[in-house]
Order: sequence, then C-alpha cells, then structure tokens
Amino acid sequence: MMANPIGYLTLAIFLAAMILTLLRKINLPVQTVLVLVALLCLGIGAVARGAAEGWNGVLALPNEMMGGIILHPVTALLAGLFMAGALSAVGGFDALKTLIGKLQKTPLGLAGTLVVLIELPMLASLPCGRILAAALLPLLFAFGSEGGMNLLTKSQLIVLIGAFARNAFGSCGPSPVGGVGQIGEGFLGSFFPTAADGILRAPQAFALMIGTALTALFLKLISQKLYPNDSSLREKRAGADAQAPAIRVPWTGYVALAIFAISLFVAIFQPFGKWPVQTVLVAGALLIVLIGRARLENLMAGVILLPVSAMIAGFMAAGALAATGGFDALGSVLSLFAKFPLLGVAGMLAIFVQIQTMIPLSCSRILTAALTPVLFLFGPAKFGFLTWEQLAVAMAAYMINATTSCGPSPLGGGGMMGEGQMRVESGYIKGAYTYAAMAVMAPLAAVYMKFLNLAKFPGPDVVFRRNWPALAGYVALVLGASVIATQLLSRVAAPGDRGWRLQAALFLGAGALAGVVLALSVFGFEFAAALQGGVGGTLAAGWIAFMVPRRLIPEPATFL
Amino acid sequence: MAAGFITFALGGAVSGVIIAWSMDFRSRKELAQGAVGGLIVGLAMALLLPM
Repeated sequence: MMANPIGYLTLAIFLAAMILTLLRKINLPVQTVLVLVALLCLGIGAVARGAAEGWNGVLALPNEMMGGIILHPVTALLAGLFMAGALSAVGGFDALKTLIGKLQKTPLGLAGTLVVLIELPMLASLPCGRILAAALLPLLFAFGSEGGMNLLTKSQLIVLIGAFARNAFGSCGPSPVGGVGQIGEGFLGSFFPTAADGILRAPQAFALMIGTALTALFLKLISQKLYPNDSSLREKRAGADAQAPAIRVPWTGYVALAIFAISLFVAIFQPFGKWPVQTVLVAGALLIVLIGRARLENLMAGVILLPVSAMIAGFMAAGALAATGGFDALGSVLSLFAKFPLLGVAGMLAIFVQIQTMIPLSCSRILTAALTPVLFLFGPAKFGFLTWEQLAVAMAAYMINATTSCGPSPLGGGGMMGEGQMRVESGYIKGAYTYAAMAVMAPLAAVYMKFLNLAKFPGPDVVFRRNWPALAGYVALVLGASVIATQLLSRVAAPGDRGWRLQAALFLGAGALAGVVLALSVFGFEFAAALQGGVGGTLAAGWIAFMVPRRLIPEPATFL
Repeated sequence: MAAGFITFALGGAVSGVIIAWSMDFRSRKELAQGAVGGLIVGLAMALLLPM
C-alpha cells in the first residue's frame, strides 16, 4: 500500500527535526521544535488539501489534528503533579525521608533499606519520575562524604544514585495515575475489554524492577571502569563516624503521606466503585492542602510542567502527522522493512520496540504519543502483521523501552538530574541506562505479557493460558546472559577506544538476544522469525551503542 | 493470582541481591538483607498491580 506523498514529506520533516534536535544541531527546547513541526506539517497539508479538495479540505485539517489528542493521560498527569505539589508543600517527602532513616535501624539493615529506596519510585507510581527524584536525590547524596552522613563510599554512591534515577525515570510507565503506559492501554482497549484496568502495568513494573538491578550492576562493573576519574564525588572519610540527618518533620507531613497512600489505593483498587483517577487525586490533594494549610506558592513549586508540555507537544505533532498522512507513510516504510527477507516483520518489530532508546528525548511521552498509533496499525486494525495477542506482547516491550528513554536523553532528560548528583559529566549513565532498557527490560516485558499477564486480560471469546515455566526460563536466559556478559566485560573494560569497542560488542550481542527473545515471544518457535528478530535487534543495538560516549567531555555553553 | 505474586517476589529478591552486590555489600548477611528488601518491594508492587 502506498501512502500519500505529502505523508512522506511530513514524516521526513518530523524525523529530521527530532534527530537534529538530538544531535544538537537545533538548539531549541524539544517542545518548541515539536510545535513548529506541527505547524509546518499543517501548513504543507493545507496547501496540498487546498489544491485537491478546496477550502473544505483545508478547514477539516485542524479538527483532524485535535482528534488525535487524548486528554485522559494529560489530566491524570496534572492531577498527579498537583498531588505531588501538595505533598511537597506540607512536608510529605520529609516524612518519607525520616521513615527511611528509621527503616535502616530495623533488621533490614543498610543494604535492605537501600534496595527499598532504589525501587521506591516504582512503588510510589507517580506520573513523572522527576517528582520523587527531585525530592529524594539530595537525600541520596547525603549518604556520602560531602552530604554529611559519610555512610557510603564513592563507588556505592554512584551506584545508589544511578540505579535510583534509573528506577525513577521508568516509573512513569506503569503508573496508574497518568502513566505513559495508559496511552498504549487506550489502544489495546479496542480488543481487550479490561485493558484500561492496567494491561501494561505488570509487564512494565516487572521489567523495571529487574532492569534497575542490571543498571546497578552495569554502573558498578562497566561504567566506573570506562570513566574511572570522571566523578568529582569525594571518597568516604576513614575513621569518621556516620551521622544521621536531622530533619524536623511536621505532623502534617505524616498525615499527607497517609492520605497519598490512601488516594493511591482508592485510585488503583476502586473500592467505592468506578471513580476517575483524577477525581481521587485532586480530592486527596485538596484534603492535604486543607489539613496542612499549604501556601499556593509552595503548592505550585511541586508542579513540574515539562512532562505536561512534552505530552501536549507530542500529541500536537502526532495529530499533525496523522492529519497529513505521516503515520500512513511510516507504516508503509516499515512495511517495506518487513518485506526485506533478512528483517521480516520480526526484525522490523525488534527495531521498532527500541526506537525511543535510539531517539531518546527529554520526555518519553513526546514520541510515545506519536508512535503508539503506528504500532497499533501493525495489528488487525490496519496492516494485519500481528494478531491482537501479538500486538499486546509487542506493545509491552515497546512501552517499557519507550518509557525509560528520558533517562539517557542528553536533551534535559531525567538522568541528567542523577548525573548532577553524581558529580559527573553528561553521558556517564548512558551506557548503563540504554543497555538495561534494550537488553533486559524490553524482552522481559514481552515474556511477562505473553506467558503470564495475558491470562488476566481475556479478549472477547478468547482466553489466554499462562505458562509459568516458559516465563521462568526466558527470565533466567535474559538475566543470566546479561550478568555473565557484564562480568566478563568488566575484566577487560578500561578507558579509551578499546574499552568502548568492547562495550559496543556487548551491546550487539545483547541486542541480538533481545531481538530473538522478542521474536520467540511474539511468533512462537519459528526459526526464521527468531533469526530476523536477531538481525533487527543487532541493528538497533548498533545504533544505541554508537550513541554511548567514548569519553566524557564537559558541555560547551550553547550561547558562547 | 498466586503466579503473579510469586513472580514478583522472586524477581524482587533476585534484583535485591544484585543491587546489594553491586553496592559492595558482599557478606551473606548483607546479601540476605538485600534479598529481603527486594522481596518486600516485589510483594508490595504485586499488591498494587491488577492481579
């Protein structure tokens, strides 16, 4: 099927703008670029429509663009940020810090407490990882020498901050309160009647939990050897006693935390019947504001506009592409990929699920809003490459990979907050973050969806069966291969070009395995599909490995 | 339902051990504490998910 030529033009403009922004050839905020791209695409579409259909065609364009904007995740995100602002304003996050300090004195010890702390963003399920990261990263820094507690060494602190940030900047995916995954759940709802209950949440959470651990391992064994002198953190002071932080928490902080937990419970489990998530969160936040007598400026300080503006700009660009045939063109191009024998549908999918790690933007919502409709069209709704079951598996892999992509983004991505606390140049975490997303999280989300999760979300007249041994086998394969490969590479990892090339070889092997596992999950035991998946995974991994910096260089000031 | 809880509990425990090891906690007691921390995270997450 050939798409409209205007669609190819608008698609080319969109992709060129995104890649040039990523390579810093365009020095504008990505939201601004997206809005300009949307306007340009609409202008081109208007000229083409005007010539073909007259004024009626031109006037229909804005409506077609606005029709692509899904308001639910936007309003849920705003409600979540409002709740976070209320929590922050009345000392809820300070109460959380104090509770963590107390946890450390239980039998869980320092090691267990730090594990809980690192995975806390996933549990908190907030709609943007920046909320908790902004609140807790200074606390993590305080565990080191400069921070005053002198509990952890420099190496431990790098792993703690890096792994926490990895978890935080993937936690927006499985969030039920305006999470990125809800965009995909909306589309899967076309077939799975209960998809909106959270069909993508468990696969993403499972992959994120394991992926966070692999990120910690990669930071310890590889990143610290490739960039050994690039963190200006001080080493732990020998002989000095550890000191606990002295935080005075008002009682309203603990109450606010309890209200937040109850609101989350009500939003997720709906014990009082079907209430919109937004209603529950806003009611909880208002209660916190009333009890804590929060001031408006404190409340607004907790609201982070980047993810909201990113999502709206992404939807605008997606709407403009949809209205001018850009998605049809992308579907046609990927269909051509699928006809190339070495790639096929499996290879094309293996590339597609990694596409946002290949083009990491400051907020994953930008491209997710634009690309989820394309993935949806691969299913029975249009191209028919995939059945609904296969589409759900591919969607799970795509979504966790997409949602974690703000972590390694050099365009103001979330990971840069962690890098700032680690006192390293931008790019330090990129290898660990992209490796975990590509090699671990995407395949694990796929196998979890295929062998366990689909059984809980039956389609009309279709009941899927769970296969626990298959899930255990694939998890052991992906996790075992990653741990062993990382350990082997750590023995030869060293600064410089050779170390970087060895790391790239690790990426290629891991990418091939991820592609094979994805193909086997989607298509079952088909040798050709597995081979094509491996080729697609290798190509995607090559691109991703190329974007990991060989050495860290201080950022030039853009306006000098 | 049980399969989901077991999967998250095991996944959490394994990830807890890997994180603890990566942070230079190498004694058996510390690795066990990491595993328990991960187990708590896994079970708590499973409770929050549609099982």
